[in-house]
Amino acid sequence: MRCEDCLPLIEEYFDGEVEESAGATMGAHLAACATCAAALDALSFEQEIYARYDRRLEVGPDLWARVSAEIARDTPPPSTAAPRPFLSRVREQLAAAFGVLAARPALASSLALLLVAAGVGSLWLSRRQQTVRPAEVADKGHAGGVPTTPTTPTVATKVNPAVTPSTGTTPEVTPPAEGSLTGDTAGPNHAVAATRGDSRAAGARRPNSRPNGADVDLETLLASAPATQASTNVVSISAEEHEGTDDTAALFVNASAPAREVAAGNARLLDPEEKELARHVEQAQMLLRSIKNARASESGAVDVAYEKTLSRKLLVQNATLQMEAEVKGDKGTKQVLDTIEPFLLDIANLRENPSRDEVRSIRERVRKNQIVAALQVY
Amino acid sequence: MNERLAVNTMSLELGQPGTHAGALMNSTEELVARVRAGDEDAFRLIFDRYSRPVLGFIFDMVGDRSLAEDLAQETFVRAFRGLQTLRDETKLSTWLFGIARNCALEQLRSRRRDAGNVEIDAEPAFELHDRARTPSGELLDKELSGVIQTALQKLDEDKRTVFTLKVLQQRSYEEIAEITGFSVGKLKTDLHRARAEMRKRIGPYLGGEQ
Repeated sequence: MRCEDCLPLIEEYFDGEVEESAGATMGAHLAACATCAAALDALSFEQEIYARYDRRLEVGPDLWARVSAEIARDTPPPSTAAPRPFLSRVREQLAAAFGVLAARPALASSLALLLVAAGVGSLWLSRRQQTVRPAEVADKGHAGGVPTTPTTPTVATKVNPAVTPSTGTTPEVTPPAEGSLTGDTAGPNHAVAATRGDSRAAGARRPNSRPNGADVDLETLLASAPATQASTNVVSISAEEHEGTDDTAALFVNASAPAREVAAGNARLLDPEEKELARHVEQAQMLLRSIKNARASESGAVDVAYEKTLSRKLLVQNATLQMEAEVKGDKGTKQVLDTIEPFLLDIANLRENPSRDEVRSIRERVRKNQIVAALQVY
Repeated sequence: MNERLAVNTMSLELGQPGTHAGALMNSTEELVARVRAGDEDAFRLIFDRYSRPVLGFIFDMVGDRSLAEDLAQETFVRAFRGLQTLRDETKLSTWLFGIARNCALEQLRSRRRDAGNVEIDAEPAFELHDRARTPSGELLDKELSGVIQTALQKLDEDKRTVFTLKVLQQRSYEEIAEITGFSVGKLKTDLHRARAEMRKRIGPYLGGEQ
């Protein structure tokens, strides 16, 4: 080994991070080379200096008292608990139901299929009714004796064309429907319908989606509600800022700095729903990080059972939180949740033991979109 | 050298004198299982075991004692709430440091200041007098600790994170990658640059060996 080969690796060698064979070669070189040995000694001396670093920190008993109090505050006894908001109670009941189903996968699958069928059917019927032309409505009104006046703007009733994903494994996003969330688990490349929200969500664009007519609808809606957007204290994203970018991080970084400061400063004062949102985002972040770090076994398959389970759980939460954000008119939060959703769907619909390439595809999208970093910022 | 590092790591892992003796006698997996089963005392043992290294790490990240305590509190509260999501119980420590890092970064970004990062070849931040004049080793250590802490705060967030985790907390590259989500290549680069910047700033203590 020559010094030019040894010196670039000297820190890794010192840190004990070179492979065994390379370490042996370097050890032999260091025993004979005064220059490289001096570089190693310098690192060793530095480490001794850092070992003398004394922060003069002690963990006082009050720290545990504060942690303990905070935990206790989080879990009040049910008898003394204040009445929870309706959506929170619904969410808890859903979570309990899905907890039971988790133990019975076959039953869960059957129920999911039934729900999907019912949801798609009712959606189709409602859409069909909404998209009837006024003249036709008038005709039918005459025929049925029920006069109807279309009060919903065209933009709200327009069916959103499917958004084509940018990669092969990205779920195909179909028009939003009222509160339904479906997934076909037959294979990794299947189309998954992710539908939710009311007509205002119909134009909501995913970060990876391409400009289309429906996006214009969203921008029109956003432009018509500036006051609501300004009042958002989590993330503020304008349609113009969103235009033409695939960089998810930009969505979050665009949040106004003062609003973020206020949000961070009041982190401990968040109400339970906001805390739940924060937890959800944190869990999604952990899930994506876990996928990023997933390793293949010798057979080339990747064990993602945990990620799939967590992803399914988060999908349910995500859908509920999206509904809540929609109801509150919190576009910023909804945008964040919309961004997370395609990744959750992809992970939830992976096969039991997907190939390295299937996981890599998701991993690449996570990396490309910088979504983990974006969620951290959020 | 290796023995010294091993001792340092152990002292970090085992918390501090006067903590629950039980913290030393339970495996991490057992403690996690007990907390998941509703045993809050087991979480106290986890706190006793990891509070000191976590607090130290956060302090190195934010450079403020009181704030570090607040963020350590937040870290353990988040950990308690999210313990059900911990997949590999043997990586509790790595997981906790990941939460601690998130808490610290959230705080840092919310109160971002113009840190005035210096380049590697900038002038040393401190010009110390002749080391022979220092009255005692203790005083030197106190002064040195102040210099190191100030120098740490001048590193950018990524470099400070990897430097703290590797050099001060003795974490492996693999663990640092898990905590931060960085690739090993990035963390090696950041660590190399952080070492160079720190070397420049604490140069006077290195006796002209830089």
